[in-house]
Amino acid sequence: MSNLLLENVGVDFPIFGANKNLRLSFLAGLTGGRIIPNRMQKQTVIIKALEDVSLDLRDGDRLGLIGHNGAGKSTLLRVMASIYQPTTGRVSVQGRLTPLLDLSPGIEQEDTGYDNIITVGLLLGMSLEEITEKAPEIIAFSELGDFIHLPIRTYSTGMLARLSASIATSIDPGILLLDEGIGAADARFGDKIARRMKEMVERTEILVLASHSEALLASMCDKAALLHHGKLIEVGSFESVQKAYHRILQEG
Amino acid sequence: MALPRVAPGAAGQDLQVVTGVQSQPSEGRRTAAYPIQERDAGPFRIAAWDLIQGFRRHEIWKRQSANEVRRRYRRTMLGPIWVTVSLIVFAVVLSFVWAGLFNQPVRTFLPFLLSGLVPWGLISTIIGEGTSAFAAGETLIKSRQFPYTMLINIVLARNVIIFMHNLVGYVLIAALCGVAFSWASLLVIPGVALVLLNGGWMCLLVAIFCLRYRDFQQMVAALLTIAVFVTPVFYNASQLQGKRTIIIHANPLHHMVDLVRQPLLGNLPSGTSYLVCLVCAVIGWGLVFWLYARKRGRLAYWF
Repeated sequence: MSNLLLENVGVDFPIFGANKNLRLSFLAGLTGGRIIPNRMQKQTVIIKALEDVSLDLRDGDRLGLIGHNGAGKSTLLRVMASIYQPTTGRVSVQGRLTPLLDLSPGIEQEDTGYDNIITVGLLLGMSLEEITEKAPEIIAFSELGDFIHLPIRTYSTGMLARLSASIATSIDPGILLLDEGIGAADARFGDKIARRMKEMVERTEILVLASHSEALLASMCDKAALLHHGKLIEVGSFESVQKAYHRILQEG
Repeated sequence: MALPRVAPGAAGQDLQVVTGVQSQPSEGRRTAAYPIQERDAGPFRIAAWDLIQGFRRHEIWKRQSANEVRRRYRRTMLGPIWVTVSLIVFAVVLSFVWAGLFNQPVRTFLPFLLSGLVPWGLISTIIGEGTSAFAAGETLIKSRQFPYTMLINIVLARNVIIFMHNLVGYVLIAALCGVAFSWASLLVIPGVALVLLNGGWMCLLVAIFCLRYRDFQQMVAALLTIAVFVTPVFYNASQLQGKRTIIIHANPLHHMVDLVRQPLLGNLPSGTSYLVCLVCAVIGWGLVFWLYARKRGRLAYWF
């Protein structure tokens, strides 16, 4: 019985140390959220990354986040993950949060693949027993063979991506928050990891996925939310929100 | 190769209390979740959760600190023993030169000096490394919610490991110089405990300020350089007379060093030192806990 409730959530980012010229040029070219010059403290510019976002997600919801670059998708995921306490509004979570926003937190080049599996597992929120139990399965799935006992700095990019993806897809998902990027692995591995991802997503209670790939979103999500300059413009079925997004893109 | 299935709702949530479980360990040992789910989880409740859980998840900070020490000295021949060796070489050379200054034989001056350098190293490095404790944890803090004091515990644990190496080195040198160890030497243990208790709040305080105001890092470095001379590490407190002794005895760092130094020399530390350190710990933790509770929610925004 999971529930992810956002009530009028707003997130303001203070930008420290932005000098006067930088601030003026910010006002000229707005690409992301809205920028509010803070008159009280002359040193800080404030970026309104999210404004008045309300969502109520229940068991079985698969929500895709759509929007232009800088619309606030990643920020919204991080507010859901309790990384950022909202500046206004409220977030209430019932259930087990399993954020996968950073694929491999705490990865260390000098440590072996096996050590990194344990470290990343611990930092992704698993207990020591859990990750030690899952390690053999992760090693087998990643097809790294004996390389698992060598330091990560000897790995190719593809191998590192395989390892990261294997660890990430081994978590027991509850409320799964995914930022795009988890599919980055080499071609042959791509199918394997996609299948494992799908399997993991099927076990989630709630899924929130941010991505630019409409194909990925269409395959994973049944609902969608459209963000535009920090505001939630449209929430509903995936098709209707997708149409709204295309309309906005065409309007320029 | 199917992974074990978790039935929805089987994560063991107590729906009455509305708290979740962040991870699902095998034998039902729970790791308490971020209490945002509790109806009235105020900042003090969250700060308390942070301090408790940051300590209880010892498998993470023990592992991280051990790995970091190992990593720093990887592929060197001596490993972490380098710290001890360089400290001893420094103390030996300094003793030979300075013993004349203080009119003491090297045999007494060297253990005295080393017994001060070892705890001072512990304290000053804890504070010094605290300046970057949160700043360096940016990727972690932005990847998920977790008790941030874990990062402080990693600093403390790292320095305890180095301290243990130095302690062994000291015992060897002290034995060579004929230091008379006694039962009082066992008081090293409560001494170190009090040092860590105070080091903890100092480290957290410094970490918070240095994350928000980058100037503080410079300030702390400068203050520590001054402090090593205002604290009787290289000299004996009894060598000062008159008004200056007040500065010395008001300096809590002096008492922290003494709580470890005196037992290492076979002496009993003074009751004043224990009192000062305890009072310091109570006041320090009180202040820092209040500050941490107020500012914890903003930390992620300060990067």
